[in-house]
Amino acid sequence: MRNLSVFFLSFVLLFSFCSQPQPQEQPDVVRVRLAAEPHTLSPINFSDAAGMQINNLLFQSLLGPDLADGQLKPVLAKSMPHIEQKDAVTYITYEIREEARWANGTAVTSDDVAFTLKVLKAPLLQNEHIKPQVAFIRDLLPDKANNRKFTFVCDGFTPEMELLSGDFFILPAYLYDPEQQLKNIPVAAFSDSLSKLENNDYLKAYAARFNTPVYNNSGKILQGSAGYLLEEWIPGQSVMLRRKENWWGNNLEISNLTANPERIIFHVIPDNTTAILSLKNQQLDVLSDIPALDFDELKQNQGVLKDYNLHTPDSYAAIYTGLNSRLPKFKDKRTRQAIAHLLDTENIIKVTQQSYATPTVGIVPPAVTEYYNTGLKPYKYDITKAKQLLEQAGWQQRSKGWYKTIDGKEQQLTITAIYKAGNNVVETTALIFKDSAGKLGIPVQVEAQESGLFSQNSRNHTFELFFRPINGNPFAFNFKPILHTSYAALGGTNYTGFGNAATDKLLDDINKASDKKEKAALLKQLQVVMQDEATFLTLYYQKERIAIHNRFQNTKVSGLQPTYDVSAFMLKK
Amino acid sequence: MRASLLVKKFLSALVLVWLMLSAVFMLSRMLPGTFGEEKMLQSQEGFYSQSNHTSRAAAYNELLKRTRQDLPVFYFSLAPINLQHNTGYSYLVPDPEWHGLHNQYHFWLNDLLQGNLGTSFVNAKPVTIVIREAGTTTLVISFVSLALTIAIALGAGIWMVQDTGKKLRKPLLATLVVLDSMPLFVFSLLLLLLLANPDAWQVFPVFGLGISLPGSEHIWLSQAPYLILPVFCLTLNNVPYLTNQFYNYLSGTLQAGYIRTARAKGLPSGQVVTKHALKNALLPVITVLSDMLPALVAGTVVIETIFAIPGLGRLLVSSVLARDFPVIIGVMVLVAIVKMFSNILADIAYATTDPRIGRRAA
Repeated sequence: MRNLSVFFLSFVLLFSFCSQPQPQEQPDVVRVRLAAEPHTLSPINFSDAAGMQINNLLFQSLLGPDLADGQLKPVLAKSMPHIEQKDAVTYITYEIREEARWANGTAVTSDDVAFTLKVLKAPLLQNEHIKPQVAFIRDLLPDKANNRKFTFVCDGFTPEMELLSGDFFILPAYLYDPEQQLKNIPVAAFSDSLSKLENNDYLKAYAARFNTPVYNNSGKILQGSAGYLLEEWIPGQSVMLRRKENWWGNNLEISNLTANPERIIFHVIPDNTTAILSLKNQQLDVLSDIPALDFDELKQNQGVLKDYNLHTPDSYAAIYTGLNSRLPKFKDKRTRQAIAHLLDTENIIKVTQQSYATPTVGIVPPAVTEYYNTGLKPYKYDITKAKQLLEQAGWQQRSKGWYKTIDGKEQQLTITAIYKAGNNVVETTALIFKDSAGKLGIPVQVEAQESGLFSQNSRNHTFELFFRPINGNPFAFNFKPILHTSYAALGGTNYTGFGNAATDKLLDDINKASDKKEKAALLKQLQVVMQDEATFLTLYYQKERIAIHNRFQNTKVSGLQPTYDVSAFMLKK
Repeated sequence: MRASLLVKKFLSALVLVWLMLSAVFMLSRMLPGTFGEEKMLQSQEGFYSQSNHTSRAAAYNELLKRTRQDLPVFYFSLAPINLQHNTGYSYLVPDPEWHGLHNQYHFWLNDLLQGNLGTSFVNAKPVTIVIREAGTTTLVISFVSLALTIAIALGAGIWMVQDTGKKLRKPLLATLVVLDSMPLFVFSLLLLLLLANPDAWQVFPVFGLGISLPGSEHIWLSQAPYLILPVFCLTLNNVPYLTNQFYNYLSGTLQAGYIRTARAKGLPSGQVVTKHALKNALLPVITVLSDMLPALVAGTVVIETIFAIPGLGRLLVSSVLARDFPVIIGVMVLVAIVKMFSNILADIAYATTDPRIGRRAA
């Protein structure tokens, strides 16, 4: 009996010790879940979504998407750039906002942009992840009369140059290069052969300092022109940001320049179950990427609904099927169309996305209403129609399957469907397709391939059919790299072999079109052609699944990553 | 145990550690892919191209050069066997290529001998700091859990072989079998859903180690509630196996002649077990305990992921995924050293438990 009493007493003591109040919410602090910790917070060498999201709160780029309307807008730049093409050179001119200030109160100037370009392009520095993105910028010409104005000199022209020229974080030269070791090396020198620079003593000395941990994780260095400062990074646990006092952007009242919450805390919680429990326990204010089944459960939970708003914006992430049209058995488009009719998209969405997805007629996301072709209907799962098309394409059905004589040799219609190993969504998609095709007597072999092998097989055209994701956006529609025949050679990114002279012209015209109406007409035409060709079959666009505490408004929930703008969050009055 | 013997054991353990780390070094370099390869060379498909393949490949080569991954892995390499272009059996004769001292292994070993584990590829931090940051919590969880596991297993083992525990022995052994067959992640999640859930019992904090906002007081003790559930889960994972071992060895020892003599002398049952049987039953258990390290490390991977606790387990997994070779090897160095010391401690414990072993070894 005495033992029992001691046990009971210990139990009560333990529980009362542990049941101390959980970390309570503070009104103006936003707590966000990160599924994985950023590897680095270096604004020029981050390589993951978390690094990107946090850097966006510390640093600013010249241009950036406004999540409120999905439009590309000026951030550090005063306005959208002026673009001029002369022969094989493009000149992109920007002017920085005169109000823009660094953390020490000094103005952001074209010298900072020039310095940033040098750091991005220099050899020896930890900049390899972003360096290829600015390879097209050869030089920067500062405006002699205005130290906030400058022109990028770029090689050739592609429509995304406008976006790419404004899509890197600008660094403060005073903080990153206090000894001005890079000042006397011109920007153009970083575009020529880099071997000379590798022996430059100033650059070597700068690299020795730059490639140290403080440039990756210290709040003393990671200070940009955005509204937040890095307060503390506890490895493996959390990243804490604090709003700058009297930040310059708050005086402008521009919708995409915000720093509202006083503090933002990113908690690293790798496991989904733990993250959902934390949400139920009110230890998180924002949880995104919620698994579909858990999201349905949250929708039924009154405790959660009382405190949280659940959102499902249309994303720009899609799953598509690619057919290798170079293979003789898939040469006839009626064969490809028959296969398209065997893709049970509705069922696939139901099983893999719990219906949190929208079927699409083509590559343009349904959320981009001005460019989406509403006149078309997505392929329906229809075995009868598939059978007719196969017969029209010359395939004959026998007891063991479908046969056709191709190049004098009888061939059976079989399909090997590949996907990147580890992606459960595409795995289930492939299995559903296998089942559907099996009903028509077409044997499908499903094969998961290791990431490197999958990419290699795609580039080398050694595949029959694949399932893979594609990420889009609402402001850039240059489909040449994935659909133009000039990218269809071995090693190119047009894996499926889509295209001919007419579609190449159409893609070129889309890139040239400056008028929105003209662009819309051309993009709608492209969707018609793509659906008819049935080589590149976009199945559906996913919906994001997000929960945000309802004490906040102006959350700017969007389909664009990171799917909400935490800097815009405002407490409800 | 004599000091000279200890030194001998230490030196032979050092050679073993070197061999083991060299094997890990070679195996890690045999993993498909290198740091940055997937992110830099296999660009995501999108509605526009952020860069062309040539500039990506050039940047990737620079990365390899900066991180010395462009160097040969070892002092020599063997040309792959090409059966198609070989006639006869000439392919059976190795065709080595000498690379000299300018190789990855040489640089790594040189640094290691100077106590330098290198810097992480992903954030340029010295590996020693990365490991220290992650290792503290893991060591606390592992050692507390190990101590609890030993105490519980020992207590339960002794209790079951005594008359007082006879009645509950069968159900307890059955329960231990059930617990032993449950994967750690299953009962970690079950306990989390039961004891850290507002829909059930909200007793423990859900994740992390707690943070304190600047200005507020942060004391070490405030982290204790966050560690109770993880330690409990890890302990529960190891208790069944160790209890079974203790129980079996104790039961076996209790059949020995000298135990019968002790009983015949009229010693109480408890004294027979603790004073006479336990010391002999501990000998095989020492081996089991010194081999528990891998299980503890494997357990912390699960525990740290589910309870969102920073630690060596999560660090090791993320380093392997990112191919951050210096950190992978660094963690293995730590594991090897701990293992080496646990073996030496086991030897000392053997000699202490049974002085004959010490005398024989000397």
